[in-house]
Amino acid sequence: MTAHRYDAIVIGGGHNGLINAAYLARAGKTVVVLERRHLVGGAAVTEEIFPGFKYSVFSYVVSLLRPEIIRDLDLPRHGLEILPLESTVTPMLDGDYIASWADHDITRREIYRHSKRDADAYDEYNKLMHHMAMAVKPILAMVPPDPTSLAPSDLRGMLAFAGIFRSLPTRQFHALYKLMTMSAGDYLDEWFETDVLKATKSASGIIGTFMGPRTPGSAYVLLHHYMGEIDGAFRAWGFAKGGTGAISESIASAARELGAEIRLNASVARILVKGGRATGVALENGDEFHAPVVVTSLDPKRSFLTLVEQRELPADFVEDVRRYKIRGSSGKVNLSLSELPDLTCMPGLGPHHRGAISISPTMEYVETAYDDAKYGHFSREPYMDIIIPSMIDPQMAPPGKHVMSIFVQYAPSNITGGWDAARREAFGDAVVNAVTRFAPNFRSSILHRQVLTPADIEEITGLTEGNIFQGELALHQLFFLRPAPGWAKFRAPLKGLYQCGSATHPGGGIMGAAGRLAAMEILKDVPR
Amino acid sequence: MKYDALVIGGGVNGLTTAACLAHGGKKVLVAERRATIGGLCSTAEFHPGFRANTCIDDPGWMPASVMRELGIPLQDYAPAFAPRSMTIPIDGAAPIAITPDIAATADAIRPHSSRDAARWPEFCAFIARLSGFMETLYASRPPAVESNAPADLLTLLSVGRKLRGLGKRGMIDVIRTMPMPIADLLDEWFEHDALKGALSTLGVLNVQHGPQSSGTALVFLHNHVGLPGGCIGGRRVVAGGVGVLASVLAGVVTRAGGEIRTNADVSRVRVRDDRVVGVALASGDEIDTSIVVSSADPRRTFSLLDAGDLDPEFLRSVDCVRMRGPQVRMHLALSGVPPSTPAAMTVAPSVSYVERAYDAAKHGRIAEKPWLRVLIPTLDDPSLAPAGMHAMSVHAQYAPCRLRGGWADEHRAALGETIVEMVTEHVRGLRATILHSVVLAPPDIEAQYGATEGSLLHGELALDQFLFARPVAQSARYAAPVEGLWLCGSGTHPGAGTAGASGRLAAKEILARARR
Repeated sequence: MTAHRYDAIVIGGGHNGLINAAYLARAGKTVVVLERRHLVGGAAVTEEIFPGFKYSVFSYVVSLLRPEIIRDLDLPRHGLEILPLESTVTPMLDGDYIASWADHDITRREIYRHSKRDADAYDEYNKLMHHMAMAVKPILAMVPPDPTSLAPSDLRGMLAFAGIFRSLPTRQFHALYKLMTMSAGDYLDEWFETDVLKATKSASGIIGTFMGPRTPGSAYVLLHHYMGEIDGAFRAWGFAKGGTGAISESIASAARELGAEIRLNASVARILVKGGRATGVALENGDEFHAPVVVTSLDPKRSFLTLVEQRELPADFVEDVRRYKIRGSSGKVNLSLSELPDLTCMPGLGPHHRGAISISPTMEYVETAYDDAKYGHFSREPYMDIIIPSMIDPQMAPPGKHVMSIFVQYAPSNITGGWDAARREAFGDAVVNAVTRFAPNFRSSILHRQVLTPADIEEITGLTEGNIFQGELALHQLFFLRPAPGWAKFRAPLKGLYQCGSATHPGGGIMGAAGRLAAMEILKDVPR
Repeated sequence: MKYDALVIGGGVNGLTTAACLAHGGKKVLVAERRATIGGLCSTAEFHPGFRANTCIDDPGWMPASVMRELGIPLQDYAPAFAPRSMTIPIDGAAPIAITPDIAATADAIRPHSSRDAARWPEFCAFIARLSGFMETLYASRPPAVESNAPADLLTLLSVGRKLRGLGKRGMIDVIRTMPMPIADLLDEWFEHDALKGALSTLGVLNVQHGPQSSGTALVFLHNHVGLPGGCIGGRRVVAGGVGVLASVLAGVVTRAGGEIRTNADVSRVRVRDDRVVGVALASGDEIDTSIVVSSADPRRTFSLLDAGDLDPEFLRSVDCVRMRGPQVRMHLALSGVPPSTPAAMTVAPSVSYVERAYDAAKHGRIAEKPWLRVLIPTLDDPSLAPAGMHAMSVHAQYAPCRLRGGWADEHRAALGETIVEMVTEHVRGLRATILHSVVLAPPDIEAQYGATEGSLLHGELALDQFLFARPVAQSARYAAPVEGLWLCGSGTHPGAGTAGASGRLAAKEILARARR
């Protein structure tokens, strides 16, 4: 058994953990990141699963990575390069399609083809969403105040929070309120009449959540789509050259340069507590690391229900963590292909192969996919978001061959009977069947297939229930309620213990805001 | 004929507004389209000698202060709480009787789950605390959150103070619970499927949402506003039926000098120079007045104006108000019921049963297995049927107003058959005792009562159509964007389930404006 001493220990080398460590190191702290796996990244990794074919195994696109982080850590110098992913094509059941392209006017013409009214509404919709995303943006960079506290800093925080809403023109305020509370389907019904347009847009409102397009609360995620666009970093969804793992690698490289140490194959078994404060961690192999600051980037169930002895935490808090809903809802299928899918609606090779293909032909299709999951089954006809990374970055696959990433919803983590090999393959088959329906050559083009169920994602990454957002982005789990009321400010009810994962504000996606905000809070508590 | 104010609709809210305005010295006329007053809160004969609460089983909460304000003597209107709130049938075991007696209810739950029985008293207190907070929200007009006017800031502050009064945990409970799905809330408290299933119906009553939809916990709390602590699923019983309330209010209106005219169908609100100048009736008569208060739902109200009189943006938000009446009402005249049949029974064996029933409506279909609330009001009030006989009212969900392919008589017949078959499982020999039955689908409720899409709430109760956003943000405080036009129906804050609360708050605003 060996012991090591640092100013801070970060548990978990996902993007939030790495960003947290980088910022702490930047402030002159000695920091170590302890990662269970043999590579950094958590859910943002690139792995060569089959020889020559590289996959962004879990997270596969990026839009929300905070520009201040890219600037502060100088990530482009560390290899970060984002390639734009600018189009989405949604095949329809009748052989037609609807597409959106980088060029606003072309998209507008495409919508016009389906509905003149919707083409008109589209401009106004975009404008309003853009304004609201601008207005809400500061919230992403805000430490959630405690609304029940009368401390001056919390009152100031609440005023600033309220100020964001109150500064909006009345019309936008009400639109924002609706967005926060409505279902994506109902919200889009107010704007558009074309079913497939609503289906494909609402699908972006349900990614990573256990909600259907008709579930109230799903409209809010529509905004996320716009947040990525306005920051000017990439303007749209992007794909990292080298896969999402390249993002993690660039952050890790920046962190190392700033002096942080990153240890791989270092699985934390428990958080050490002495006299009511966290003093370090012990690894599975018995090694101990000591530091006055321990930061966990894991989800709260893993952090507080398994790594810390229950008696060290207040019972109320433990109860809040227990009832925090994580609910894994999605799976991932990664494929190697001998040829590109030939879409019936858009035959041949085309620019659509460099963008996303969304399998969301009707509102009912997506909603029915959700219905299956509600009762403990995977969707027989799932919603899928498909990209072909090798078309954007040829190095992802051998020449002439391709890799495909299929994000699949829904696959409930609590599937009836539990996930096993047979169910995993049945799920994979359902995905292949559903894609083949729109691209007849698809099935025979598959060379390798990796099917990841929520159970697999949990097994590999350690994310409870395989949820990439570390917890449902539902209204009652956002902002000052995330992950537990009273503990939204990145601290934990144990001195010296902090949280910095996606389960804290502002939540999931490769955003990094939580890792950075947590570092700022930690630096307030410890002497420089 | 010239009036100070004309109220469209003689339902509970319309009459309450009229009563308050008359008390305030206004010369008021209530114009009711139908031959009788009461609107959705009516009791009517549906078979010779048999009377039923046609649409709404419970007139809702009317605070004692309002009774005093309107001068309603207690002997005229005294709803009592039913001794049995709801009975939950359990497969192969004794049913659970939920009553206002917390300890007795816990005893009834204990054989099925001792854990749930132990948590019952705490749950009752929790709900009472939260719905108590909502009660204070319901006592005044909705705060204007986006306004910086001193009066609005004061209202906001006072809401904040009330919230603070709940203590740290209480505040978090309010903020956290309102947007929750009722399914999640019940999961946090209970384990027994049938108990959770039956309770979950109180979170989806009259709304086209399932128990897993966010915001249904709000509906659950709303349905408990004004009920005494522990009275989960409590029912008010009015001797003579819920329609009595309208007659009592009509008495107040006329005593205060107001007039009520039935068979007076307002077909148009007349506007000149952006001001209301009167209304036109379907009969062709015109009535002049500078104040028109509509207790009709928002969609219907604004359809009475020329589109040119309203801002298109405003009209669009009115068109977007979700109505979506999801319920079917069935009334049965029975020659008798077996002894020990409960007066109120909820058939909803589990939360996922209720959710599945909702799925059908979501996709535009009628639920094959709806959840039912089966009431036999004659067990509490025998005056509603001939001696020894009974009237049964069944509330069934879900049957969407916008049914795929549209509603036809065979849908009503099939649903009636489903309901009878389901109820027969719990009321032995039901079929043989049926003398007559009627099924009211959402379009029937729209046709008969003018409630758009058959919504008994005059607009779905959901977070985005609540408080300062009810019915639409631009006229959440009763004033419509046309000078002289006001809303007072249950489409406004605080809305359905609160007897006359909307009507009273609207009248206050109108009188305050008149004084200015």
